Amino acid sequence: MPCDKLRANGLADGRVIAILLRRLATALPTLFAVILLSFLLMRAAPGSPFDSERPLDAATRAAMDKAYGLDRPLIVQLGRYLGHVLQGDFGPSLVYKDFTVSGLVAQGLPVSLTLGGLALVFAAVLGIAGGIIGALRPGGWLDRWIAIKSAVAVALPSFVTGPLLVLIFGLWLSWLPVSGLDSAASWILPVIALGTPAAGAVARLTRAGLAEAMAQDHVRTARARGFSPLTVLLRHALPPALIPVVSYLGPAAAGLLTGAVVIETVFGLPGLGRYFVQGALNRDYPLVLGVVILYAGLILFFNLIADLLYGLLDPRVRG
Amino acid sequence: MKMAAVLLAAIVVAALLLPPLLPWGYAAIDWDAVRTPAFSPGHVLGTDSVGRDLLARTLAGTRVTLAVATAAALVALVIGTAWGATAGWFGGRIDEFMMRIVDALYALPFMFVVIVLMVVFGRSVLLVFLGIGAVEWLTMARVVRGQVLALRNRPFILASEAAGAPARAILTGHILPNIASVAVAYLMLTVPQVVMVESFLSFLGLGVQEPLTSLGILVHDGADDMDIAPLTLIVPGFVLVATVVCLNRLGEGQRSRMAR
Repeated sequence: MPCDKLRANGLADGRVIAILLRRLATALPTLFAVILLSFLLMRAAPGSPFDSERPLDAATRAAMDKAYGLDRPLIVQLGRYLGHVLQGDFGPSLVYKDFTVSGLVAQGLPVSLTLGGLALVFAAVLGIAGGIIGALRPGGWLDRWIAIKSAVAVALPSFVTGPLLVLIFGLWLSWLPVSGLDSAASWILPVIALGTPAAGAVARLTRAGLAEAMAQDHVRTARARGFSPLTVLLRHALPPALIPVVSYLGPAAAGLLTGAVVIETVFGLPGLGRYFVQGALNRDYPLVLGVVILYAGLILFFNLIADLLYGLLDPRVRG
Repeated sequence: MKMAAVLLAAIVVAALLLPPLLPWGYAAIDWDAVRTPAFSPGHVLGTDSVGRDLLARTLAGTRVTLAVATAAALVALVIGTAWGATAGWFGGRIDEFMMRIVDALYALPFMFVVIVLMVVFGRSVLLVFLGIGAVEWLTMARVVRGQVLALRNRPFILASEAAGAPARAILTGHILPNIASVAVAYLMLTVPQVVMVESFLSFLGLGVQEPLTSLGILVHDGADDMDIAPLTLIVPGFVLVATVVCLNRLGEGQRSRMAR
């Protein structure tokens, strides 16, 4: 977008910075609350991470607690933890010996972000296209067909579609790889399984937004001036219709990240989600805590982006 | 809409009434029929990898999933209505403060908080639905608050206030009956969401635990066996998706009737 247009949209002036600051003022305390809550919950948990088949003798136990700083008062532990987190250090993993949580996260994050990003693009392209095609002939058979498909797509959890896709395209047809990340084709099934519910939601939002936009005055004017129906739809009705889609970005990011947990487990992808599930099943507190904080940060970040885009698309919001 | 109601009713009735009529219980193992295909004698949909009847298991799983979902949705209804009605009724600073909290909670990655809860306090059905209910009340609180705000200045409310009725009586006598139908519509939309969350947790092994079963556990087990017995994945998966689609459809229908 050219610079003068950005300015005309108000992005370059102080108001956007004000929105940003206001949003940060709620996002940062929320992030802190997540850290505090998860930290306290983890410490309140019955049992210790050193509990195993064989109970440790008291001296070893005390030495272990001392080594991990678990003998200090809670507030000191929290302070130290926060200090380390700010430096990007989430401590050692208790289950993956010889790995730090930061190391595991650094390994897993690129995989998860690629998976989530591709699924988001898949959902946006398919969903917006579906919404537009449906709106071309409101009430036509294609419109109704897409409406039914997207209602079902929204309800297709990735843990059902994932294994089903593996069964059909991997085991029965042997068309696509079903596990690991050996080639670019390995991404196809996970991305489809993860992106389908979001695609359905985007299609419904786009379709509903277009229906509303088509009834607005500026669209009627554009039609009266003799623009072709397609031009009216794409140039005049689509931008305001996309506003609800953009505000869906925050929830979508949360949904994709959660879905990715399952998809990575189903398809054996070495992403964050797999470490998270392993950590949760094995009571690896530092790992679970680190991943939760990271997820919370990512979701808050996407909510922030959605708010900014919202202001860009709808001048009235800035008022 | 009608189809959704019929299909959902069929699923619910089958899950509630059919199990006692089947020759096999959901946990009973038929050693002579491990991984039998569908339509074998005694096992209409076949059995799983340890010889448990798939139809009985799917029905039992549906029952647990629906029970958890209904209970959690009711928890969400109670918390959400109380919170939203209080905020909407008192308005001003109290309203702002209470809704700020809701906004902040909305931004939390809930699935992860629930998972943390499961990790910390162990995995129990009670905690599953308490946890889910406690995180699903936010939308309800927003909707109810909006309704109460709209009702707040209606003449009949002002009249009863002027007549000296205590706030409690106005809330229970006038406000609640008027928001009931909208709350029910959102309750119907909460149930399918809870179904999804419960299945998700159970799929990961963090929700309902064996020997109890739920649709999420069945899908998980089915995914392990699908190369030999594909029905063990397809049947519970289909029931899960059908239930969610029908519930969504009914809830949305109810909501748009309200809007009119």
